[in-house]
Amino acid sequence: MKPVYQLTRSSMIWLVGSIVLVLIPFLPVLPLWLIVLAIVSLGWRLLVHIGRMNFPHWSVRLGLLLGVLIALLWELRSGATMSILVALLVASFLLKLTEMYQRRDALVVLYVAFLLCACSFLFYQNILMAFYGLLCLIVITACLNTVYRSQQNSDLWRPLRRSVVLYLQAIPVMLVLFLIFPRIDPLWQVDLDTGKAYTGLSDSMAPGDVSKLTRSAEIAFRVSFDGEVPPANLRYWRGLTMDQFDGHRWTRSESSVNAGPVIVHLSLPDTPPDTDYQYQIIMEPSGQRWRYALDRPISYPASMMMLPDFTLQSPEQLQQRIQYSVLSRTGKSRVDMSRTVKSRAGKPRAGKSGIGKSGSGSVKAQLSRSQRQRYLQLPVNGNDKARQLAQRWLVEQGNTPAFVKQMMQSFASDFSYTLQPPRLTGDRIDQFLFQTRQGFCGHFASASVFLLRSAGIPARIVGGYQGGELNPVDGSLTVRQYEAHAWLEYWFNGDWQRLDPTSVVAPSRLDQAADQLFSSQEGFLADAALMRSGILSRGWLKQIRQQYDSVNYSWHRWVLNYHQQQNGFLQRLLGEVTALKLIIFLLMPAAIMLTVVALNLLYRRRSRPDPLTRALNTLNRQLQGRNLQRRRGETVGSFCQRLSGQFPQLSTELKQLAGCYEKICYEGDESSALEKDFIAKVNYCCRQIRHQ
Amino acid sequence: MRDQIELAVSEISKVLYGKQEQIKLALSCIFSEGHLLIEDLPGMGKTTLAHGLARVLGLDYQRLQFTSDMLPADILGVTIFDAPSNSFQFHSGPVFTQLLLADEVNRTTPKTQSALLEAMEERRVSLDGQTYPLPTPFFVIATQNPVTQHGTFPLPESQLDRFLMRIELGYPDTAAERELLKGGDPRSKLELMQPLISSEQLKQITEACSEVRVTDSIIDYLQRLVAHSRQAEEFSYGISPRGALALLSACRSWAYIEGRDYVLPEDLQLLIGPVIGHRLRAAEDIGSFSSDSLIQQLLNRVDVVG
Repeated sequence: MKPVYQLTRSSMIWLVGSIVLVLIPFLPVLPLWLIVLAIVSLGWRLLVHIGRMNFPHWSVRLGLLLGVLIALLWELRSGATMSILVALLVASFLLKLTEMYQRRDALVVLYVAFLLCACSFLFYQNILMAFYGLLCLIVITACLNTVYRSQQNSDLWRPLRRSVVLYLQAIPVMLVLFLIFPRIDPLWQVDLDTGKAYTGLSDSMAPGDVSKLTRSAEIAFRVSFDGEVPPANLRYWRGLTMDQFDGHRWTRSESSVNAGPVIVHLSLPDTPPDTDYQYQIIMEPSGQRWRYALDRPISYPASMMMLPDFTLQSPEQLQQRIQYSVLSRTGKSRVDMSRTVKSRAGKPRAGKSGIGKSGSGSVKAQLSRSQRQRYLQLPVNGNDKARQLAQRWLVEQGNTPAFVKQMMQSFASDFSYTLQPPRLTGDRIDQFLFQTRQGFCGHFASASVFLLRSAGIPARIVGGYQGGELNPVDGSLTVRQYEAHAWLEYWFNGDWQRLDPTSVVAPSRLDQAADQLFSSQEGFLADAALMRSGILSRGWLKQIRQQYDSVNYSWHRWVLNYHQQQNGFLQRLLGEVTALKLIIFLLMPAAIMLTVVALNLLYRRRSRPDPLTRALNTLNRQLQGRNLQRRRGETVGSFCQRLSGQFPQLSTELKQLAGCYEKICYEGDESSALEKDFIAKVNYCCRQIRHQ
Repeated sequence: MRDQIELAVSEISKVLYGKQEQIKLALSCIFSEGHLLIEDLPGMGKTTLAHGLARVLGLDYQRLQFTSDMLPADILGVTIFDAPSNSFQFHSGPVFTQLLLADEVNRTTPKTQSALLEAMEERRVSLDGQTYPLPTPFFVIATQNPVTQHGTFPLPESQLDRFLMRIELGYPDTAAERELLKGGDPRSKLELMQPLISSEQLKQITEACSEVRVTDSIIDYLQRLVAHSRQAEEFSYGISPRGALALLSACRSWAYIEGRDYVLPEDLQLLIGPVIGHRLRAAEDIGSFSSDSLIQQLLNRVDVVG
C-alpha cells in the first residue's frame, strides 16, 4: 500500500472550503450527475481523512474515470463544447481527490482549483463574480499555505490571515499590471455557447415568437443617456426590419441585408434640439449582427454601418459584451405621424457626426421601384378575407392616414391582448382577424402589415425592444428580454412612419413597466421565478437590486471602456506603442520594486553605525596602511594598548581614548560631552599618526 | 567586601602557587551560584584548590573520592531499619553538605554520576518517596581526569552542562614551582587556614554580583558571539541560551571580583573559555581542534565593536 500523506485538519477544512467555493459558480453549467460525483468524491475523501474508509481500489477509480468520459461524450451531443470542457476539468479535479496520497497530489488539486477559479469568468463577468473570484483565490491560497506548512497547526484562521496579507502585498503589482499590461486580443475566439441559443430576437418572426421572450428576465442591453432620458412612448429600440412574408413567418429579404450601407443621408428640417439623444449602449451577447438604437441614428461608431432601413449593423456576430455610443434624433412629430423626414442622396457616410444640415425639406423622397415591390410583397394567395377587408377599407377611407386610423380603431374596439394566444393554423391572418382576435404584439404587427400591403401601402415589421426600466440610482435604462417588441413602419409622405398597433390594444404597454403590465399573465417570466414572484420589484429589495444593477453597470462600462482608455494612456505615456517599449515599461516597475527591496535588505543588514564606531573606523582606515588596524576580536582597550606600543608619544591619549570608550559603551555613561570628547581624541590621534 | 575577596585570593595562593586567575575564576563561579568542574592531570593541585576554597569560605564540606564500584546510596544516603524505634531511619550521605568536593567524578559509573548530577540540578535528594532538601548554599566542586586516561567514564554533554565552569590548572611556572618546592607540603598549611568570608557575606556578594551593570554594547557582542557559534560550520551546535546566560552571570561575578560594577568585553573573552568550552562541540571534520583553539577562532571572527 502506498504511504498516505496525511493532510492536517486545518488543511482538510480549507481544502473542502476551496473546492466548494470554486465549484459553486459552475452549478448552473454542469450536468447534474457531475454534482453528485462532486458530493461523492468529496465525501469519500473526507471519510478517508477521518479513517472510516480506504482509498478506492484502482479498479473503482478506473471505472469512475471511464464512466465520466462516456457520460461527457454523451453530453457532447448537445454541442455546448465549452461547458463540456469545463465539466471535464471539474470531473478530473474531483477524481483527483480520490487519489490524493501525497502532498504533490494536494498541490495539483489546488492548482486546478486556481484554474477553475479563472474558468468561472468564462461564464460570468459581473462585479459580484470579480469579488467572489477574489474570495476563492484567498481561500485557495490559505489552503496552499496550510499544505506547505504541514506541521500540525491548530490555529484554523492563521492561514487565512496570512493569505489576506499576501494578497494585500500583491495589490501594487496587481495595480501596475492592470494599468499597463496590454490587453492582447485572444489568439483564437472561443465560442462559449454555440449549442445554446441566445435569448433574444432572431432574424425571422412568426407572430407567436415574441411571447417566448417574455419568459426571460435576462438583460438585453443597458443604456445610459448623456442628457435627458426620452419619455416611455419614445423608447422604441429598433433592431431589424422584416419585409418578407410567407404566410407564416416574417423574414429579412436578402436584398435588404446585402444592400450595403445606406448612401442616402438624413437631413432633418427644423427639428428642435431637445429631440437629440446621445446615449451609450452596453449590449449583452446576442449572437446576431444587428445593434439596437433609437429611431433615427444619425451618429454611430465607424465600425458599424447603417442599412437602408436605418438599422445599425456590425460585420461580426456579437459574442461578447460591447459598448457603443449613438446619437439619435427622435422628432416628437413622429408620434403624431405627421412629420416628414426627407432623405437626400449624395453625402458619403461619415463615421461620426455626419448630420447633414443642408436640406430644406421641400423635396419628398420616393421609394425606388424595387423597394416599393419589396415592401408590398405578399404571398400569392391565402388570407383572402383579410385582403378583401383591406380593399373595402381603402375604398371607404380613400387615403392612407384614414386607412390607418380605421385599422387602429378596429383593433382598439374588437381585439384583446394576451401572452397566451390560441394556436393559429392555415390562413393565420384571417384566423386572427376574424376568429381568435387575441394576440401579442407580433400578431398585431403582422396583421397590420398584411392589411397595409393589401391596400397598396408599403410597410414592414420592425423587431426590437420597447421601454426599459429606469434605474433611479444612476439614471440608466435596463432593457430586458421580456421587453422585446414588434411594431411596424409604413411609407407615407416621403418617410417611414412608426405605427404600434399594440399601443391601441393595450395602451398601458407603453406607459407601464412591462413587468407590472404582464404580471397577471400566465407564462410571463416563467423562467425567472424570483422576478415573477415580484419579490425583487418591491420596497427595499427593489432598491437593493437597482443599486446592484447600477454598480454592475458602471463596472461593465468601466471594464469595457478600459481598453480604449488604456490605449490612450499608454500612447500619452510612450508615444507610439511598440512591443519593445511595452516590455521595457512592464519590466521597469518590477526592476524598481526589486531594487527597493534589495536596498532595504542591504540597509537592514548593515545598519548605519553609531558615531563612536564611525570614529573608530576612521582611525582604522588611518592605520590600514601600516597594517596596525584593529582586528575583529580585539577590544578597544587592548587595541589602544597595542597602539601605545607603536606610538609611545600618544600613549596618554590612547589610554584616555580607551577609558572614554569604556565609560560610554560599558559603564553606561551616555553624556554627549563624553562622546564628543572621544571623537575629538580619535581625530587628534588620526592627525598625529598621519603626520608621523 | 572586596578587600576580603582579595584577602581570600591571596590566602588560597599560599597553598596553590601562581594560580591567581584560576582561583578568581573558581570564586566567580561560586559567586554566580554555579558548580565548578576542575579538569587536569593528577597531582596538579585540583584538590588543594577545592580544599582551599572550602576553608576560606567557611563552609561545611565533604570530600568524596569517586571509584568505579561506587553506588548512588554512597553519595545520597540510605534508609535503615532502626530496631529501638521500630521504624526506618534515613542516614544522610556525604552530599548533605554546603560544599561537596567530588574527586575524580569521571572514575565512577554513569549511574552514580547521574545521582550526583541530579542533586546538583535540583538541589534536593529524592529517596524512597521522600524529598530531602540540601543545605544552602550548595556547591559542588568536581575534579576529573582528562578523558584520555584509563578507567574513566566521560560525562555526557547534558551532564557537563550542569557545571557553570570547567577550568584547567596547568603546570605552575618556574618561579611558582620553585616556591612550592621550597615551601614544603601545602596540605599542612590548609589545616591552618581560617574562614575569611562568612556565609552571610557570601550571600551579600552574590547579590552584589547580580547587580553588576551589563550595557547594550555587551549584550550586542554576546549576541554576535552566540549567533556566530550557531552559524559557523566549525561547531556541530551553537551556544545555548542557558550557556549565554551562564556566561553573562559569570562575567558579572568576575567584574565584581575585579572591582568593577560593569562588565567589559574583555571579561566575556576571558570567561567564554571556562564557561562555554565544555558546552560546545567541534563539528566532526575538524575534531582534532581542541576546544580552546575553537573558542579563540570564534573570538577572532566576531567583531567586538558593533
